[in-house]
Amino acid sequence: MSAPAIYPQRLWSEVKAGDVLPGIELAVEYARIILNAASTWDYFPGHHNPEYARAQGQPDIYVSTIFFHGFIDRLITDWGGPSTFIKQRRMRMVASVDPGDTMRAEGHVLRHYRDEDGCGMVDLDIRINTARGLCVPASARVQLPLEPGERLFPPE
Amino acid sequence: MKSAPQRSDVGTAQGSYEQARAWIGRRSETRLTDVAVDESRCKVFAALSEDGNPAYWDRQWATAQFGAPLAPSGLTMSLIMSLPWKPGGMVASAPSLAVDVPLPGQTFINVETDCEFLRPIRWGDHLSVYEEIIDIGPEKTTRLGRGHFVTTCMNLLDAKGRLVARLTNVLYRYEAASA
Repeated sequence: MSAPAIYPQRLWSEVKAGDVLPGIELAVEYARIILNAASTWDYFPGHHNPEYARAQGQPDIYVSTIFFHGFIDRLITDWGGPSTFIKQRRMRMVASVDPGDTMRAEGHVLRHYRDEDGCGMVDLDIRINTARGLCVPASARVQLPLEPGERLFPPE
Repeated sequence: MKSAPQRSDVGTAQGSYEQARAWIGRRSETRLTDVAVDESRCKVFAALSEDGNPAYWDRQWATAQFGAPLAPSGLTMSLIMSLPWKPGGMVASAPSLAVDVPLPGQTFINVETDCEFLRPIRWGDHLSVYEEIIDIGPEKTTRLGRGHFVTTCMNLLDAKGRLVARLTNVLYRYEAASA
């Protein structure tokens, strides 16, 4: 069964070092920050209480760790396709993303290789920016199918 | 009998760096998370980042491909969070051992994560988790205030006891410069 047409699956053989992932953008409003925190059960007040966030030294409430995880993973699977398996994702939050910001994720392929098991692996360099500059430098190691229709994790 | 440590408004246990150092290497009990992975939580999360990946949305395709639709990998850290209240007045457990470590400072902020995924997480999976304190750094001053970086590792297991994800997290426990 092939991937739905609007989300084609990229094969490992179709990738090379230096390839650029299509960037993605998201407008960050108060509601999106708060709804994300609620949907992820992250009730820390820095994500919904401006007064608390300011007492922490932040300008306002800010995007949570888990929100960044989801945004980075969307960048990867929008590019790779729905059967892309993210094996590792690393990120550092060096600046906050606040209400009114637009966050943009971009990335490129650093390395294209087979691992010790022969799996098709790709290492990615990723950045999330706002108009103020870099907020989250990140990297990821992902597995892509070697053949059309290959299931990396078949039903159990 | 030891008295419980004082806690800040956001639940951080108060104490000294010397007390905290004794926590390095400590491991929590393994606990079953409050609920199984469900469709609603996965779809709301994907909706808020406008992620249309059919692995999270297309039940027929995802079931043929993986056996069931998947939880977005970005949601994984959320799956260990506890409900804020339960019947019977139970106190929700702290979201992380990093909050239970006795340290100075009233607040915290997350700074760094390293997430390894060993197998996909599907709708209906009910995960267990245990956490370990990996490191607690000496006092450091940042633009936010003065505090300590606490590194933990959360290990998520499926119903068969297989490790599905390992989440290493660095949290800054600090006193705000403006306080």
